[in-house]
Amino acid sequence: MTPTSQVKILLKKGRNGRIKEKLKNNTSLYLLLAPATILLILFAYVPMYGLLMAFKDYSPALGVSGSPWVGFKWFIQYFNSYQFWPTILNTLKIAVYSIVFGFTLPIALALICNQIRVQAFKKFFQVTTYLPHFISTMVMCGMILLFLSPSNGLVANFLGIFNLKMPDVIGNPNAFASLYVWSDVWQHVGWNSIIYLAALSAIDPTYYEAATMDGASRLQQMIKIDLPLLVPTMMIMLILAVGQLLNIGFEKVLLLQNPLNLSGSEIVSTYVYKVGLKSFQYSYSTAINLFQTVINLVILVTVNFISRRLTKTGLF
Amino acid sequence: MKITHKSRRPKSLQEKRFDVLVYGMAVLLILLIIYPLWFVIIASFSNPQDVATGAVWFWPKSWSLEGYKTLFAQPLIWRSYFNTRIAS
Repeated sequence: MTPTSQVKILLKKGRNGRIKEKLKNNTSLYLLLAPATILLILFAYVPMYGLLMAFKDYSPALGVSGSPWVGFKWFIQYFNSYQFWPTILNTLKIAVYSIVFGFTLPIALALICNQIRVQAFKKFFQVTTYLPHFISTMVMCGMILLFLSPSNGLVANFLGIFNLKMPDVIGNPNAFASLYVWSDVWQHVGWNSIIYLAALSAIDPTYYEAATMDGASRLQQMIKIDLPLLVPTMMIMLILAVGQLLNIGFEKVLLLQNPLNLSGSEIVSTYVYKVGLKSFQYSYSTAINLFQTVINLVILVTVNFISRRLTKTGLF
Repeated sequence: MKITHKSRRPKSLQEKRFDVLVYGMAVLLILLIIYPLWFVIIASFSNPQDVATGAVWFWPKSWSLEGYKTLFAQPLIWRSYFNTRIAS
């Protein structure tokens, strides 16, 4: 049977016939896919039913389906609330700040690590840079407060030797974003560089040999070989990072928050936590979170589109 | 003739400079990451007053297990540790 006649038969069978045909031919593959699909539906799509709360005046007694519809009331209430701009701007500020450094520094670290030729030292370097990743967020925040306390922290004591006064980093709303981002970089830079190291070790050594023959220095090799070959990995990591853009580490922000820096540290998710779970305004908090998710989705799709246009790599 | 990746040839001055830069940065980063971790460990074995006044730098000062005693005296510590394990 020639391919064209096969296509004709398939076309004759119509849409349903074709789907049946495919199912019959690939039954085992679809069976393999089934558990993952069922899990996805159960844990990602079924809970989305709760999103209805955002458009209803939810009360636990009436249930999600029984509560009366209120349309966009909660969204409008959030847009008009005095917390709208501060929370949105703080969230965006911290998110963009942490993408800029949290995304680029692991690449730099991987490039440096790749240039270390003494294998034992390279291993030691890698292990030390991974270490902080395994500290829990709670302990990490404790460490930050221990080091940066303006009266008797480690840094304050160190500056005290030179008679310098420690600026109050913990209680300063303007310093909050830096505090959050740099402690995060310190903690995760090594771990996030693993994937780039893997990509670097997969580069064909013949490139380096050819470059060496042509007289390229190691710095030139790094810029002309390593970096361009890392671009596809970078793009995927960037899109993944952007997908998580507005889901800033909620617990870390909450733990580092204090009444002094609140104007710089109140982000959407901590606001949702306070409004929704502490004051029981379920519908309002659902609406805020839904709004944040929609913004994030728009950003994700945009970045993915730009990436596909520029580098021909994309998630979808 | 085959050129291997690690061909033995004298390093140029430029190469040497590059190596110094790479290893310098690596050592600096290691110190930056190791020291806070080390400080937490030595601070846990030191006298709280010495930690607060800045007498502890590289080695535990006036060795004490006071912190651990207080920790294990907490009645809830084992219970919360058990809960953490269950949850993860």
